[in-house]
Amino acid sequence: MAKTILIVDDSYSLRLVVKMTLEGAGYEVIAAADGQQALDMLDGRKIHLILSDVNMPVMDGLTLLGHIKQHPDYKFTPVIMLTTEASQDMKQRGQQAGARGWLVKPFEPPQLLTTIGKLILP
Amino acid sequence: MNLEQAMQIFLQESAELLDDMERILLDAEADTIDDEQLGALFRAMHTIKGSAGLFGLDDMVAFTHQAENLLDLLRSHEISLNDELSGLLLRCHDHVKAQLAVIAGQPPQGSENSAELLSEIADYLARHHAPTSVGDTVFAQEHEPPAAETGEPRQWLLSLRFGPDMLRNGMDPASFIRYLATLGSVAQIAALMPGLPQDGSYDPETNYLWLEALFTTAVDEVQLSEVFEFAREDSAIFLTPADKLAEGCDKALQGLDDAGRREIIAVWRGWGLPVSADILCDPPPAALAATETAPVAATQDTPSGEPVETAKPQAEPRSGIAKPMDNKFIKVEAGKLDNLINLIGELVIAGAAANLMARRSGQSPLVESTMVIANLIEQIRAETLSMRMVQIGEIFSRFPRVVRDVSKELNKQIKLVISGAETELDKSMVEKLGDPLMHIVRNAIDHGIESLETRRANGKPDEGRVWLNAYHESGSVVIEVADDGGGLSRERILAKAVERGVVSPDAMLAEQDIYRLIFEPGFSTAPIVTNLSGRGVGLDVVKKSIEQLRGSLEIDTEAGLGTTFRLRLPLTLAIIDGFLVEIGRSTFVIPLETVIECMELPAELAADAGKNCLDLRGEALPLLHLRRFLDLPGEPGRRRNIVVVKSGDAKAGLVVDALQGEFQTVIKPLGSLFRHLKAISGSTILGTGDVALILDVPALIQHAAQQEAEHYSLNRELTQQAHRASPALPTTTQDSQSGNLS
Amino acid sequence: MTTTLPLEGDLNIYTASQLRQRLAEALAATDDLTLDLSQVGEFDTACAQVLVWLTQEAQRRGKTVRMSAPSPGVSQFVALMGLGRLLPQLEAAHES
Repeated sequence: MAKTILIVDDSYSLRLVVKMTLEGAGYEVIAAADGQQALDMLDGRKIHLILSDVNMPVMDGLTLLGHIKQHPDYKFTPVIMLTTEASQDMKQRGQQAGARGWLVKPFEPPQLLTTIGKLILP
Repeated sequence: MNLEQAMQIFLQESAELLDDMERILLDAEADTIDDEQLGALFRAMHTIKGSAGLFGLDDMVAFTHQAENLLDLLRSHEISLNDELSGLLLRCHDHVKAQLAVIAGQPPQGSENSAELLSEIADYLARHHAPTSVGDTVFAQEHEPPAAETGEPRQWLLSLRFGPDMLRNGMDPASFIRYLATLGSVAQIAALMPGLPQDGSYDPETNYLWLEALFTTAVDEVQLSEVFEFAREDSAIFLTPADKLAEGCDKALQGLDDAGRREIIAVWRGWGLPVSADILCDPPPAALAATETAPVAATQDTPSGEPVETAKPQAEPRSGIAKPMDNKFIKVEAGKLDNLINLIGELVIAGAAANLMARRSGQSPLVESTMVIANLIEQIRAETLSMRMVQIGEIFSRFPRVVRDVSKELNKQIKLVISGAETELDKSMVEKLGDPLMHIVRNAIDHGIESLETRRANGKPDEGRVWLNAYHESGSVVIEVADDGGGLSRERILAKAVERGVVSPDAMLAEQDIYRLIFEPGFSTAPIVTNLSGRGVGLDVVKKSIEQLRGSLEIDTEAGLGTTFRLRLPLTLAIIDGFLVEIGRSTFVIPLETVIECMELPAELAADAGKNCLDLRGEALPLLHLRRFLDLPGEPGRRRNIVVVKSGDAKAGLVVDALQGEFQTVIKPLGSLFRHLKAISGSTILGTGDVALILDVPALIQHAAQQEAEHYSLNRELTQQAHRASPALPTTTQDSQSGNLS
Repeated sequence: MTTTLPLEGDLNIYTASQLRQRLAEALAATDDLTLDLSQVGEFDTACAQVLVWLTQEAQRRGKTVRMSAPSPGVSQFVALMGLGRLLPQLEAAHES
């Protein structure tokens, strides 16, 4: 069974390229444009990895992370935050919120695949 | 979906983000800016940067990176927004926009140089903010390239002491091993759990698993180390190359308790690793307590104990200019919508035909059925049409920027007031309205609003006002551009017109006609030609564009007080509610929204063909005998009717034969051959299959009024001259006698 | 006489606590417990740990725990992670 990845980012083009890249590698991808939409997708289906931007309208990544950590079905799902590099402070806040993985934007598709591969192979 | 299409989406998305950014910055100049808007500004650059990176657009990434830094400081309130910063950010916006244009294949506009703008940003920061790590001009790439074969295979001893929170964080040690398997081969692997509690304190969600492995790979140390990047936070990872086994083992064993060391050594021994006897001794107690080499799991958090941030409330609609970006919208290709509307048009006609046949058949269940269908068709039609409607705020939103730039250039203080941005009109019109409105607004600022000295001399406030307003009125969309400037000078316009030979010196023109002269080609009353609108090419183009939209222009002006340009455009393009009338054997459609009332033609008027006016409850209503006007054969019937129509403030009575009632139909555009028919705005197909022409009511009203004016003009000759000079106006009465519609 | 307890479905970190509870109760109720692993789907570190814990706990209590018919998911995981040392019953069951 293919592994499912949820991408949460307010940029449509980013979601699109991520989807194309990951699906090309054999993953299944579902996408949300902000934290709220992402939460709506946590409906019991199997999700093996969540990639989330930090800066999003409606609900940002750290808030989303907080919700995920409280969700009985998803609290153990690995979450990788996508963020800018210039924020050590952000990394700390993220760690406090439970984020362990970071991917620095901008990244290119091959990097994306390598990073995700470390956590889950298709 | 391929990369090309993804690129298109990126371009479009970035354009929208830039629009948002610009709008916020312009709003901010008037009011104070709130945190949500600051966040949105940041996100605009942040998102563009991220997406640009995906496509490998390094220049854009480098630039937006700096802009993003600037905005990051802004949103964390380390610097605050002022005029200078605002201007700088707007230039950043322009620059990114120009970069996008180049990527989209448009020729470079010769805009600012990246390097210069970047140094200005750096300079601004230096002046307003203590230098931090923000000043990194070289964008540090933290990512390793995908693991490449870098040399010969080497063997490594991997000691992986995964931390207690690994499982809770969703990082199963198994993932790392599976990934390793893609980079090389695992010769030996052993799982250990020396820390697994022997008492009741075992927690199934805590990780106790350690791994020892012998791994052969060709990737280098850095890349191998990167494999475990997500484990580093709370785990101890030791990677020992086979040729450095002794020291490596030593290091790997430090900080472990007795049981742990024993277990690990046993494993190593089992693999035949040369483990020296020294390390079998217990290390000095001090080293145990210090645990320097084993990283302390730096986790201070317990997910369960942490208060959860309440989710931010759903974004509230901003007051003021309508916000086009919204999660509740779906993007649809305009072409698809057009197809849908065409189909619905066909459906309306087919429905009318079915209705007609049902009525003829006389079977009432059938009639009822078709009525139900007709009702549904009507609803679908209305809904679909409304899909094509967009808020005029979309074009209005450009104007704050335009006004700002123009007023700075002309050294005038202008305040732009926008209202009615939520007024809806057809999407196709919105695109074509932008330029004409732009010209009118520029014109208002350039010529309408006086210079500062003049205003002061006249006791006017320093700041000039320009109003953009839109509203619906009896089936039309009305857009007003008003200013509190000096007003149009009839004398000057007339003088100029005479000078240019546009009208003869003795022409007697109605007031509106004089004002309309400014739309003549080559006409400009500006004494000084500014590079904006003094060239006189603006307004005649405006007039053409408005005509193409089947719209009309009115001008209200008062010397010393100001001018209002009023554009009137039809609301719906495709499907209209019509009022059917018969003239002779032909059927015509009058747009229902223009119809005020109907009445029989009084006998006296019928008798006197020359009388073109009706006394409508004290009001003089110009009449237009359509049979004559349209040059239709045959004699007028005995009973004729008047349909009173209006457009704006003007009314007229159209004299027709029979009235047939309301009828809903689709406008089929006329072929190009008939485009120049001034009185006809389209055609349609009746339920019977006959073709009916749709009357252009505003044009007819204008003509009726013209006739009236001529009736009382002192000198017809001159009027005719004036008409010839302004070809837009309907031709003279004489011509109309023969039904000349060109 | 051994009591057989079939384990079904996905054994992962979400079900680990539950699994431990279940196994603890099963172990309390018998001296000889056999786990039938033929119907196990996913298998991860968390549940492997539970099994290791069970093995050690049984030893402490002087009870016997067997594991039979490991599903492919289980065998592959054990092989991947070198868990044979800690779960010898599975190694035995796999070989048989």
